[in-house]
Amino acid sequence: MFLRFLTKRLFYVIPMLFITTFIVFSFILLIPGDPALAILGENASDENLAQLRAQLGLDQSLFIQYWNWLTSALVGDLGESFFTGESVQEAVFSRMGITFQLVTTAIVIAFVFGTTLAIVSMMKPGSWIDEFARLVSTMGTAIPNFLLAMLLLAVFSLSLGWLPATGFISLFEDPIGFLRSVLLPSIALGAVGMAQITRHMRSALIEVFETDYIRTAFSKGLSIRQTIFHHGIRNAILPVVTTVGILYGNLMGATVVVETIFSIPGIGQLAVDSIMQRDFAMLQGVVLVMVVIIIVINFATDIIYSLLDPRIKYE
Amino acid sequence: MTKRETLLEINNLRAYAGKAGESRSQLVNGVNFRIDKGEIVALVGESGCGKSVTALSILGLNAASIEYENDSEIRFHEENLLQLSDRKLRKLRGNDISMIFQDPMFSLNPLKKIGKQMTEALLQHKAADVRTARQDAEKMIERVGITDPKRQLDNYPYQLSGGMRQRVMIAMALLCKPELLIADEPTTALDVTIQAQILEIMKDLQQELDVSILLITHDLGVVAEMADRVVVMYSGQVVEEADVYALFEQPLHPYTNGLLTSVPKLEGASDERISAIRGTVPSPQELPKGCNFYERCTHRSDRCKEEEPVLANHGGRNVACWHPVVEGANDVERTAIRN
Repeated sequence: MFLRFLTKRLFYVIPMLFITTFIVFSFILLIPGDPALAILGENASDENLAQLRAQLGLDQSLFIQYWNWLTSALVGDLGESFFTGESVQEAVFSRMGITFQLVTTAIVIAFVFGTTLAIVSMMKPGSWIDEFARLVSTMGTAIPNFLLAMLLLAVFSLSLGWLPATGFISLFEDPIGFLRSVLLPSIALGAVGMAQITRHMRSALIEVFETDYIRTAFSKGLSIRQTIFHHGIRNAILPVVTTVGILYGNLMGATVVVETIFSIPGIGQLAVDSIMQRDFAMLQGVVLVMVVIIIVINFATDIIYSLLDPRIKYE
Repeated sequence: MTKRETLLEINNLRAYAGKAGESRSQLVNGVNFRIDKGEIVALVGESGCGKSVTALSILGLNAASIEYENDSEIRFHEENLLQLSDRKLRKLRGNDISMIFQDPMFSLNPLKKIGKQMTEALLQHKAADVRTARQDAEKMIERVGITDPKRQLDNYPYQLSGGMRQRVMIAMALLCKPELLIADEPTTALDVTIQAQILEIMKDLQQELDVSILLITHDLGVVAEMADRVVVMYSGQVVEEADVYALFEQPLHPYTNGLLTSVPKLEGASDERISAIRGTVPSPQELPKGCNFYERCTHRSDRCKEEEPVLANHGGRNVACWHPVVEGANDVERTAIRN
């Protein structure tokens, strides 16, 4: 049953991958600037340039270029960097691991604080914490992440010196070091998410509290706390799961800025570098992996949904 | 008839939407009635007449924005429920007084198994362990006519029909053996055939467990089927209170009279028009000085316009009207209450 759902979903995924990669491929070629010129420099001769273009396959038509890329991508070869010659998939996967750790931490922070703030503000409406939750959800949306990143950096790294300003340590090498290196960037990255989650969870809880089954729960003699925990949260969290799924995608994009500010060698930085250097092979690999990740996350969202809501059965 | 012991007494209940001092509308305006032990009292009236607000005020389940007058009283075991702390009120809810609601489709949490939801009140009030609570729940849903109770307790609400869910609600409400069951339009959302079954179950269990029922409804058929006594409400006030037989035989208030004559009859010429009560209920913001029913009444006089009638004894029954209906001026369907 579940297997059938899985295969059906894969059928949607495949055309989606073709379409997105093709669109990205065409857009990349629209970026002004010539990779051959970028590599060889202003003084290169026309002859050398033409030779390099031929070598990189850039002299062929868009469709042939895409076809060549696609056929090798299908067998797991994403090509080599125009510049360094390093394997694209190796570069992308090692960078991806870093970004994934960063974004996941940001999501965890956003989710834990967002839902907690919403629940507490629901338990004590009109209290200072309720006001605080509203303030956080407004500020989180209003402050752009690059500004927040620089503020955090200025205060906690440069002035107070509590946390490192730049660099990244993997969770698997040194968990404490990881937390120290990732805390500020993930707060900068997750603030918007926290604001969104607080707001969505709060309004979902308010909505749930107007339903008849909550009145039933109260009529059984449950306290407001019991009602929230036994009947409110699971119902209210359903729309929030969707928010988290979308957020994952958004943060994958937002990480470009934050990684640059904190000098974290993640996929965002790789994307920025590839664009600057017109390293199309690398950029194409970056985008492909991001698309795949977002598809996987959407899929995971659906699974979580079915685990939370018994009415949803995938067949 | 032997005089029964009073279980719950509502005295001068006044409820407002909005804070005192601000512009607020009066939803319930001086309601008085009592419920005796083992009795089924029907609270009748059209939507917006304050019957649900009255019912919900018993358990303190009205929205926080609804406020009560200080001298309003709901007496239950020597205590005024309106003054009770939240903690004490919670001990009553689902334990001494429980409630079932109009729409069983939405009255159960969609994400929780039936069994979990049913045992909640037991675990809350009776210090039972999960196993005995579950056994009690099994017995109770079998009693409301659900077959294969063990399996049903592991089902989610969406796997049950509306009628089954209302049975579950009834079983859940009676699990702690309450003294009073408040049923807010328990059959309105159900098919007619299911309605009859649900009413029968309620009536059977009421006798078996000797629970009193406050039945809120606008359906006079349900009233005739179930009630011992009827309280008729109109725009926030009790306009008539009577034994069910007496009320159907001879309604005293023109409004009750209008309600009864507006029920279509099977016998009689097919071109006979159903008499409807003309006009609409006055809005709670602009209640008239005199009788609230004045604009729509067929029995009115100048006195009704100036002076508000109070609930008064009229031949052993209570009615709030200056000119009660007398003699069988209308032909009330009497067979309905006899079967």
